Amino acid sequence: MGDLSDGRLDRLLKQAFPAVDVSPDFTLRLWHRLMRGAGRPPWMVPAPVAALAAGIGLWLGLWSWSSGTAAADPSVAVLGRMERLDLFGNAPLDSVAGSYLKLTRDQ
Amino acid sequence: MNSDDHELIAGVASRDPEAFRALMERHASGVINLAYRFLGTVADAEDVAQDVFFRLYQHPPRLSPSGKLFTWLYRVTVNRCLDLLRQRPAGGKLLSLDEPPAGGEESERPLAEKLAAPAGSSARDQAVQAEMVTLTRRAIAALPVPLRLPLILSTFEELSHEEIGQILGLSPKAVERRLARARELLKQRLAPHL
Repeated sequence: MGDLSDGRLDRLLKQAFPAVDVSPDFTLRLWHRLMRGAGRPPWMVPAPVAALAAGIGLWLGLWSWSSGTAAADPSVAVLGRMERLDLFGNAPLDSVAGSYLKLTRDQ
Repeated sequence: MNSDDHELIAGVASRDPEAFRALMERHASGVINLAYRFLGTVADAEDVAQDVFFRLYQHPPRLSPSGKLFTWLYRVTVNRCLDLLRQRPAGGKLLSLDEPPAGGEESERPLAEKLAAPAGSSARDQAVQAEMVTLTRRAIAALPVPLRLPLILSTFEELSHEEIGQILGLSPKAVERRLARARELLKQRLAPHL
């Protein structure tokens, strides 16, 4: 087993990773990126923010639909039942017959 | 030198392109080389450096009067390198061990070609040296990250324990202990080949 002094170890490390030069197009690429970054319109929100907003909107929509706010209004009650049928293709078992019968009676 | 950095950062904060260019000329090489020695490839190192200087331009740091810009730059560089390693799938290429080191006209020749070279003494020496380079790169890559970082900052950037501690969020004593452990491990791994 050879003896490895601190000085020799340092030399080996420096031989393994000699310094690299900055590539000629490094600055140019960065300027292009900065120009794109600075020119982003304010309505372009970052993806996580857009996803969060979409999620909140979807949740609020489902909540208001399932809590029956639409069904409470007699003018949209029938429409609400129709949407349920269309959305799932087959409505919940306990309401398919009732909804259908009520719909036909209303009409 | 340090006060110049403060003036240049003030210039960057007021969107002075010349100030930003001057900071890049002064620090780009250090940032790229730090990332290269940690990640192992020049392409990855330049990507990291792009992110670092992009952030410097978008959000210039507020340094204390005694604060040094390079500690902020190196801290951001290290964090970005760690992010990059985390984003990669397990088994991804972390350090290009079989790739010759950048720089030098001999670096383009693969090790196998060097070993097959005529038995002249210089060719044999080159082959042995190339093999040591590969072994050293493997030994560095095998070091745990908490040991590898202080070693790179100390050996290549020649920073003091206190400066390394500022970059990595460690006490100088902890840096000293990690450096001693890193060197010990490297010697254990490399000594049998000497």
